[in-house]
Amino acid sequence: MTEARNWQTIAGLRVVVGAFEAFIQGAPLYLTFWYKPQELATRGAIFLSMVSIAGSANGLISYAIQTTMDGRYGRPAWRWIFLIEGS
Amino acid sequence: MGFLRSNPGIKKMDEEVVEVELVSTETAMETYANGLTTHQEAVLTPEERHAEKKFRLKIDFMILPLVATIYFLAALASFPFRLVLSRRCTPRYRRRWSFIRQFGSLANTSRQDRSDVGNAAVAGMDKDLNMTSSQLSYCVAFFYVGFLLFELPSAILLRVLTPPFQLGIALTAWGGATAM
Repeated sequence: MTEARNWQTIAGLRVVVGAFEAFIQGAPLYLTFWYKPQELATRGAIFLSMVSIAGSANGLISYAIQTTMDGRYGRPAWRWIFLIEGS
Repeated sequence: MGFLRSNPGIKKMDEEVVEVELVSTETAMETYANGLTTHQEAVLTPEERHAEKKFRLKIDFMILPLVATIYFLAALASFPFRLVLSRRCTPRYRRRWSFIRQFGSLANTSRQDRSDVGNAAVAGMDKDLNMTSSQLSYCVAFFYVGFLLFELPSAILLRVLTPPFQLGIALTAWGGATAM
């Protein structure tokens, strides 16, 4: 998505990204292979709190990119956001 | 098929006769009605308890940080929401419930605009690529085409592909697709 020249590229790559993120959704199931139910409660809480932490870090990181990295190496800020936040 | 009612391991430690009683499934269902009793912790010797604690600590330091980091990165890029797993069920039912819940989690995707596409649009992507607002929402929504199609296969394939392989490949491929 960093090198996208039109919106169709972004939309197409979003389908691919969605497909592979679905494969990452096996991770909570993976935790159940290791932990007993009473242990899973704490670990699951830690694990799922990552979503909230990412939600708060998300906006902060993109703000920092937008204010400091806009136009670096001839690239606008949104390309840097895809490069840094996406991967 | 039946359940082992007594624990041969404990009896052996006490040097008693090992009594293994096979009960029918119906009796077992009545006896272990809440499903937790079958899953009950066995009485462990101090050495076993120590070993288990060590092993749990090892998992906590090896697997949990890795998996949590993967999930952090996934949530940083886009926001598929999901529900908590820790339902008190037997392993068999827990697995079945997790499939069902993965469908249920799709109803929870109300924070979909908080992805990197949203942030990139704020940073000027829509102007650079001459996107209309409906084209932008297509970009956000098309994520769920791939997500919907591969949600169920991912849960089924987790055992076939093995988690290290599946999670590793998925992380690399999705990072590559975003950085491309």
